[in-house]
Amino acid sequence: MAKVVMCWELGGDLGHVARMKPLAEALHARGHRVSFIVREPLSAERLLDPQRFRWFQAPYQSEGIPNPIRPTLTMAAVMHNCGFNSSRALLGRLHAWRNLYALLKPDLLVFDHSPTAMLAAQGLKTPRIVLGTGFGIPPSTSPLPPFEPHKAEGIVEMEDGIRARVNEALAGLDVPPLTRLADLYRAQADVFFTFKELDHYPGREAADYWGPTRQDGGVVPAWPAVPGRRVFAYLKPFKTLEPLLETFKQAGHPMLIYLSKGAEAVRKKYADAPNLSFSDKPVELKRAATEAELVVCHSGHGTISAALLAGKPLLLLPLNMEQRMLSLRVAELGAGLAAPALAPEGMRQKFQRLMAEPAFTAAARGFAERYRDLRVEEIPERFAALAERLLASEAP
Amino acid sequence: MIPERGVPHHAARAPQSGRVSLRADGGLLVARVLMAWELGAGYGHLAPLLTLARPLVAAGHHVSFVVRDVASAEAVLGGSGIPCYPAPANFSPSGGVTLHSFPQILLSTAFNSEDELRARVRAWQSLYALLEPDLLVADHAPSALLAARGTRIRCIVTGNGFVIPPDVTPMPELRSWKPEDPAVLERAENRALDMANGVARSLKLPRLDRLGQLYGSASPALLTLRELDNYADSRQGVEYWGTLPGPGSAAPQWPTGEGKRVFMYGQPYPSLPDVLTALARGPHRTLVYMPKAGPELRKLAGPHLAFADVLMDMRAVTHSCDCAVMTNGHGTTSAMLLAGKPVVLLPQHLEMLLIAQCVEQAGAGLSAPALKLEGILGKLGRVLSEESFTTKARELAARYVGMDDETPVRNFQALVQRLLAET
Repeated sequence: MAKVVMCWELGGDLGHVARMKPLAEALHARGHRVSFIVREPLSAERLLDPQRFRWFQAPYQSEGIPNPIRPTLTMAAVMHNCGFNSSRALLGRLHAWRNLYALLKPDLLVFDHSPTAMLAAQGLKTPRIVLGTGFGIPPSTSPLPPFEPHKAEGIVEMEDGIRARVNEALAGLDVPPLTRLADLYRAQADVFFTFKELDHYPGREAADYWGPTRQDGGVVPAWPAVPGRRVFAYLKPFKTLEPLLETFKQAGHPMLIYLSKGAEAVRKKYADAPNLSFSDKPVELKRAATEAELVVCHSGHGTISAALLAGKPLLLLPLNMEQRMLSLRVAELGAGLAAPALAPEGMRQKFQRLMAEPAFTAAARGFAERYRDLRVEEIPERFAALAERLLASEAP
Repeated sequence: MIPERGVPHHAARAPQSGRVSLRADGGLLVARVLMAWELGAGYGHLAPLLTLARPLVAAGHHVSFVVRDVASAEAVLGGSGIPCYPAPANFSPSGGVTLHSFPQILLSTAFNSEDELRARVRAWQSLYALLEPDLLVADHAPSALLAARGTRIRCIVTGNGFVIPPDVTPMPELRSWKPEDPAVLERAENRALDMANGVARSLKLPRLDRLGQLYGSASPALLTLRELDNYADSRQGVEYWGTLPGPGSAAPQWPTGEGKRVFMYGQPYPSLPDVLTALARGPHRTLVYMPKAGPELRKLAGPHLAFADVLMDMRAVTHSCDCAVMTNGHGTTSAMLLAGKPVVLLPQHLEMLLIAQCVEQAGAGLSAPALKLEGILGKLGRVLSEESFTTKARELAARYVGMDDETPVRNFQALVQRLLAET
């Protein structure tokens, strides 16, 4: 029996715990004890069985910092804005992570988007696995690569400043300085729960792509009873949502729209549109993607993966940098179009092109064909085997 | 596997299985003590908890901190050797609502939803399972108290009056000057109670008959004066231990010459430049300690106005001044009153508004919540010229003769020993 600690520091919603849950369950089934250190205990409460897993509050920068770096050109700027701005405060969080590690005595540490937790593990002999989509594991370069290749001005100086503060904090732990900021991500294994084509950082050298983790749950898709080509949309409220819904209404095709917030009000407003159906509960993604002809979303990794594995093209409306990077990859594949400006006319034209031009569907089908033999249900066992290999190699 | 530094000493070598144990040398009870802080901001919770903890550490107890802000804790606890863990807490409290009662405060913070509360209570339980505390010292930590219900952990609630509600129902209206409909407050209290009991039910903890029981079933260590406790009229048979001394040690450097001595302390506010400009003209001598006052304000220094850059010895300040003007500072207010000196308070949030109301009721000062130049200067003038304010402050101080800086720590240690002896 080994003790495994899974850490989640940055990001929101359920995705991070959802990704680690099947891995933890596989480890638990093999007799290991898994604990979670999570940014939001609510995610653990929603997803984890408290009989099998304990969770702890992760230390994180919960308030805005006084001197954020804008725009955030690289992951280094994200780190700065998430608490690497002050070496003293960072040291406080490093001590807190270290104290949790000392309390939990892990034999293996697993990190999902947790740079401070990984920094705190520097100098420890405990083996580490870092996992995530491409975004949470930036390529090991110095400086860290720009999110958008053409926007790289000043990133060397910025990272130098951040690295200096990081090293000041590390000195407080008696840990040798990092020569490159990217070294904080060093682990015995990097596990990419994505596809090479969907890596946020294109052109990454050798990486171990495992495909997306299983996406369970959701209600059965309830399609409007009108003839036409089905479109599934997974959306959050955003400023030009109304014109988009107007486009959907006019198109007349049966549309199922999962709105994570405000579904009730929108449903009332579009009561006269028989082709629009709104869900306030998450919809079973795999099934919705299989039954639809087009998927519209904000470029979340899970929805994109489900759509492409089902061979369906995408209209992408990214709301942040992470989503924007991913939407570009889908556009490069030819399996979708991105409308990052969220302009009504742009969204409308791209929607019409995606419905009219078969090339997008063909590209999506090509993707699905390439990964026809992918068995995402085998990922947890594969992960548990990897964990046990690392545990065995570190055993005294 | 993990280097010694940063390792909680008790995690490495602790008394067996969390039981209170007798030390071989003198029969002293040695225990694991968890100091918890969940709600609030700044250093006002951390610093007192550390002052209370130090003698426990020195006595050989195994102390850990579980705190809302581990970054601030580094400034306070760094180098103390006391391990610190992050408190499960609601880091996105709902704002923009006028709160009228303790249950409403809970509903906007720790008790924001039953699912979230349950998630956090479980996280507290995870800490308890590994740290195995014998004693929980909770400063504004309702979820920590809920998680400890039905366990063998003895609980102390500490802090000023505001963070320790009385065990009464209904809980008092806090804004007596502009009260809410009592039915609204009753609904809030019922909702908070139902939420706590919902969590208690699913986690198989003893249910609460009243919300106040969450606090009432713990032993109080009330670090305030009766006259500064907004709940004083609702409590019975409770001891007031006074406040802990501040950490400063520098001697106050008053402007030389004639004139009454005014100590100004706290956070900047919009009319501060005008207030300082007026005070710089005299006739009083004003000493300002406001770390956030910018350089443009410091230029106003002159024969009647000086700025202090470091924390001062508050005993020396209170004994040498005639009056203090403060935006915040429960401890400083208490220190002033115990030195028999009146205050002018410039409250900007509920907790301080209540302290200011208490001070006015005691007759030992005035409140200027509008923060206007004329009001502040007018009230300062009255407090300095009308004898009654100083008289009332002196009468208050006389009621606490025998209380000194050591009183709270001494009483706390005695309480800890008593509770541990019972386990």
